[in-house]
Amino acid sequence: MAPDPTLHVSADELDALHEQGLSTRVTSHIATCPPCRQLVALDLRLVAGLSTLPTWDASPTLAARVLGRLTPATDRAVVASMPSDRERAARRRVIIAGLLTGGGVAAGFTWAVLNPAAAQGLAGPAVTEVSQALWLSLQGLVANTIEQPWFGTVRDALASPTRALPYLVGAGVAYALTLVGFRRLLTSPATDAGW
Amino acid sequence: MSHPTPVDWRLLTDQEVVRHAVAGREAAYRELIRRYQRPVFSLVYRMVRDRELAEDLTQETFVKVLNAIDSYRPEYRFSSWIFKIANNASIDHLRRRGLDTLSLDGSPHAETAEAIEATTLQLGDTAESPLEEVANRELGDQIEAAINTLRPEYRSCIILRHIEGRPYEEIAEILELPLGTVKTYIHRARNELRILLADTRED
Repeated sequence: MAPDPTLHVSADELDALHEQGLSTRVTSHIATCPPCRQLVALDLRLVAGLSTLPTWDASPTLAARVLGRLTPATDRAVVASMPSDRERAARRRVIIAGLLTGGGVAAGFTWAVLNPAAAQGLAGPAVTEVSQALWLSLQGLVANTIEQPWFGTVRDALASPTRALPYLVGAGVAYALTLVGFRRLLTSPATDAGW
Repeated sequence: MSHPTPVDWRLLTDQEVVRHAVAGREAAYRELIRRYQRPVFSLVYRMVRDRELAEDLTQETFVKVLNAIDSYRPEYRFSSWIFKIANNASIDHLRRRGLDTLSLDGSPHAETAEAIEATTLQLGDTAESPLEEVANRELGDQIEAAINTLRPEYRSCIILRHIEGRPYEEIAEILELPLGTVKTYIHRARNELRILLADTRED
């Protein structure tokens, strides 16, 4: 069915004529409709006038003024990667602690090499006492755990690899989620200029 | 010592130039300014009609865009980004100033003769016959005056579409409006301009 030539020119047709030119329907309609003919002529004249309006130039010093106010990307990257005062102080403390610990261990080792009899006399009783204390603590911990009401349930759940698998997977997922959470918490927010 | 490879900036796309700018090459910054200073300044000047203010807003736009160049997302057109920031700066200014419109005779805020002259529209020279030039200048003056009476949103739409020649989709992106709204605004703006021009011709 041919489009009705008696209908006035629509907004879409008016827009389309700037992209595709006059359609057959619009051409035949405006031949018999003076208001639409005037509308189309004025719109064409307006759009032609708009497209020939001059563009304006900023002053020639604009580029220099803009560049003068910029922080170059490389400098921004350098500034971003530079440690803060607090980070520098923390690094200094770690280095000093490391040097003191390392120095102490090295000094003790040197002394023990140079005085083997004295070192053995000092270390022998101390090692025995420390070992006994550790063994007693471990026994106490195991005995205490076995007596807990939930111990039977946990032991049954982990009794075979098939039963333990879901728990291990769950623990793995929880661990991964915790890592992701920490990572998000510790990441600085990105600067955004409108996007 | 190694020197950076010479680049023919004019052959590169905006995205490629931006990549060099992100790497800190000053020449890339210059190229982006060269490409966009005229359209950005034209848009801002047509919105605010004050040359000095348009210079300031254009400068702010470039500083904002170039300082945040590493946050640019290449899936968007660079032109959309810069026009969006320029348009927002202009609209913000117009809102602060109370949405007034300006005449061809200069800003109503101009208090001295120099300020009036500085804010008066000056049309550029064209290579036409004197008669055509007079007729076109007259039409151009009428259109410029009519644009100044439009709402800022309509003004942005009509400038971007029919003066800067941006596609509808990009205008929607710049103004953060649905495509249908952009088409409606442009249509209404042209309607208002036609009525104003028809009235002027009848006077």
